[in-house]
Amino acid sequence: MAKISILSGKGGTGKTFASTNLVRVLPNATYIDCDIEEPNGRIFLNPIIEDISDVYTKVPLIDDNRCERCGICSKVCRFGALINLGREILILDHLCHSCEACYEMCPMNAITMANRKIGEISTGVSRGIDFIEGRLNPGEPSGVPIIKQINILIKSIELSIVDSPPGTSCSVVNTIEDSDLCILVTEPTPFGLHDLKLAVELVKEMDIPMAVIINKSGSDNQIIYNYCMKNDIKVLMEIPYDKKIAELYSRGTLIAEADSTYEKMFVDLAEKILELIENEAAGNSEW
Amino acid sequence: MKQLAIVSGKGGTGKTTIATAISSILNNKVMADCDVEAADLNILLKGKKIKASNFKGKEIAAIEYSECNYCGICEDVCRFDAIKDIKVNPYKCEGCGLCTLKCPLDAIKMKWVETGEIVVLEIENGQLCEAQLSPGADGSGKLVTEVRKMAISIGEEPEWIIIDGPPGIGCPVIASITGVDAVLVVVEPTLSGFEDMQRVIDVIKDIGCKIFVCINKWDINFRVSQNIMSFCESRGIPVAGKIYYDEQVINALKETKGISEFNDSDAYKEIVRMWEYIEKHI
Amino acid sequence: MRVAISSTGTDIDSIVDERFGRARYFIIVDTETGEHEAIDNEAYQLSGGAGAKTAQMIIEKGSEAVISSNIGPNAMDVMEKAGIRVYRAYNMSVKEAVDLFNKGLLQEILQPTSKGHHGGI
Repeated sequence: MAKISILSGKGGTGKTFASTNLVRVLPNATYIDCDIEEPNGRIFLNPIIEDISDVYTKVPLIDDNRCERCGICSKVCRFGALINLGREILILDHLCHSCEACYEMCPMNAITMANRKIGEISTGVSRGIDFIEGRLNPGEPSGVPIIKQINILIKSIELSIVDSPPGTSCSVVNTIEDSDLCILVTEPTPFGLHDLKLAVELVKEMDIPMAVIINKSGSDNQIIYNYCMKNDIKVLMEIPYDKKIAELYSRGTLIAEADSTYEKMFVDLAEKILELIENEAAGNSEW
Repeated sequence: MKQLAIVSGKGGTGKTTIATAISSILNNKVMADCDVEAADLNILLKGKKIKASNFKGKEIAAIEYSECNYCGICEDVCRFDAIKDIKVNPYKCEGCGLCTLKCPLDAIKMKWVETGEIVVLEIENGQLCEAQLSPGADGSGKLVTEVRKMAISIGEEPEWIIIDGPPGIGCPVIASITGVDAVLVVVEPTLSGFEDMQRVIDVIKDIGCKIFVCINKWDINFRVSQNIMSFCESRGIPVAGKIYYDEQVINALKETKGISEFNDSDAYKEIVRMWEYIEKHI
Repeated sequence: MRVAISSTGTDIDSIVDERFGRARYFIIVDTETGEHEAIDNEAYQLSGGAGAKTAQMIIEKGSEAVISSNIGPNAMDVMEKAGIRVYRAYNMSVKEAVDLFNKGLLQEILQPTSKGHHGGI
């Protein structure tokens, strides 16, 4: 069992590009799209979806026969999800964090917790590759419950390639939790470096091994190499700045399928990753 | 004073390049970098820090150990597994306060914690406000609001406030565009870019302000660019700018310069033309 | 009638705060007697649910109408269910807003002007 998360300090650096091509050349790997606000992996992998399951959070439900409109639930809710109108309690589902304080504190036992759908998890196959995608309904405040659900699935998957959400928010923290390796995709510009530092800071804090891929590589790779060397981070791959990549990408085509040079690059990457994970596992069992 | 927010459904579409170019055109403005998870406008604008303040964005549980008898009730009631060995994990605590209500000794209080920093910088012909959210912290929508408040208060009656918005369609985006005069949506003509653009436009439509679209690198896929243009036409949204794929943009970024320093580049000329259009039609 | 106006300050000459849930103060004016009191809006600093919590406070204060510039869907939802009408005023003092309200010149807000979210304006 291994979990490899692909992330970047910011969106648009080539996370999905790297993950979808990597999964194409890795035998027995499952592609997992945790970029739940904008899951784009399916555009490149064209999976046949076999199953869609709903993801729920818990929200309070009030039994009107028991409720005496005392308003305690509204007072204890720090998120403003329960409002005492005097003649009834209004529940604002979108504000609820499922902390169940209302349920715990209601003196009349008038509150139960009910399910509310916030998104779904699709599973399928894309030409031999298992495919999992989390998708948050638009306007929902937090997709963390979907990510947690996917993490349960990951526990029984041989090799997971996880396409993480951009940034360093709380959904990223939940996505990369328990990863065996984090791969940080960056660009060799001062911007790329700036965002890379943020991602490195987070991954370090979570104590996960990491490596870097340079996308749109070119004459300025040195700024990334200097930083990585100083921080003892391996650079696994350089993806050149190539208009052909941009064109194929814009059409939703995987470059590892369309071009043998690139296919070989990703095969090399896959080998390096597997080696890193093995070393890491061996390193951990040493005594 | 007018406010324009620049957004894109996804990151990396050229928002910052465009924001920097617009900044160079304007004489009296405040720039607000509302991409609080990864603020980067200042890499190009190279401002000088003149002011910084802490941002306390979140309330979490704090255990007063002198009052605590380690009964463990707080651990049992927490729905977020945020308390272990009578210690609060600040990443996991959502601030619901249930433990403070359930603690038999009243030993837990809610406490505001710092989750970021707001910085004001002096830039050419104006100021830049930016913020940095601590990694893993939430509540970025509120921080965006704080940055915008700072941007409004700092300038000396600026003509323009230009907001560089965060990627995505979530709450920080909404906080970035609420109450602005217009939103400029920057899109690249890729299938995923087009999809994300439609999503962000749906969000803006709900708020109900003027929308402009700018297609960046519009020649990398003419077919998708055509689709974007017909989509915009059907929604009555003007395509204010069409920027060609321009190596000069890459060169400028490599040298950490704004594209305005390459002022005979096609990309810069098109941004100038686009800005004239926006100013006229806002 | 008791009207609650979002305000940037504590006196009646303060400017109307454009935001509802994140307004620092509310001034509650009795339109018959002209008496008014300022209240601290404790919800303004919440990272989420500020609009809803503010609406709860306004209900508890017995207000029958609200004047502000922008109101989110959560607060609007609460106002609607509570039967409290919401009116729009921009860029004027609380006093001016109340005068216009008394003359029936303020536009009623029937739909939220900003979409709900965690932590925004």
